[in-house]
Amino acid sequence: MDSPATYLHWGVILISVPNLIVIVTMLVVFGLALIAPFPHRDVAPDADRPSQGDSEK
Amino acid sequence: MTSEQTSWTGRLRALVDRELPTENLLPDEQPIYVNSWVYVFGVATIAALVWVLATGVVLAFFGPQWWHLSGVGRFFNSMHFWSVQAFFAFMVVHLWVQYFGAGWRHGRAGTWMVGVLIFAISIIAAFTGYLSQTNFDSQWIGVNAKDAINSTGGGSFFNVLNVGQMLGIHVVLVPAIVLALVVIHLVMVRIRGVVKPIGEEAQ
Repeated sequence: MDSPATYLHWGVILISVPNLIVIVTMLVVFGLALIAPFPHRDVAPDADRPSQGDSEK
Repeated sequence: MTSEQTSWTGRLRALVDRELPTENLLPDEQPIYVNSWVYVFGVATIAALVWVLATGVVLAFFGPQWWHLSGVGRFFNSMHFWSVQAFFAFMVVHLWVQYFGAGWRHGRAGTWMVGVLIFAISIIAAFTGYLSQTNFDSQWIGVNAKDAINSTGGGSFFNVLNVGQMLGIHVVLVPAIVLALVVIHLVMVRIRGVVKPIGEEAQ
């Protein structure tokens, strides 16, 4: 752990492998969040209560 | 005149009742478009922040010798470091979601700008944290950073070689500001609710 990280070098781009892994993981998580189904329970709408976000304040 | 009109506490109470009723502050339902994983990253950032603060409190209590030399200390040091990685990663994905969803629409520009401030001050927290490690890494960073800071003139009052100053800023000043801004950010989100997706506005 105390040794220097391996760096990847393409032209003007210089990045350490750990930083690249973190960035790629973030992009993968973002992509998965867009397409993965979100678990939810179906609840009957309550007409008496205003739903937040519906109004354009 | 009623006390609500004459006293600042009454006016404040009326303002809170009007702008932030408890069903907005602690909602048990959300609009149908919130039914997506992309809305989870804000609260994931807060969960990571709680972990950052909790491990930071333990590190501050036991001190540098403990976090360098004992196994448990190194474990807490690692948890502090990795929860910071999670905090920044979730915060940046949250930023991507809000950027591509134009989260500043319909009176939410203030919420966006408070988020920008939290991001900027969190970077100061990270830099002062690297300077507070009390190891060769922090010395190396401090010796190199002093030239950059001095070139701006800021070195006269922000001395990166002063470990006491950096540690004080890192453990007291910056966390207090970040925490206060996160509370303000959350309250602003709860006041207006989650912004509608682009294309849903006309409905």
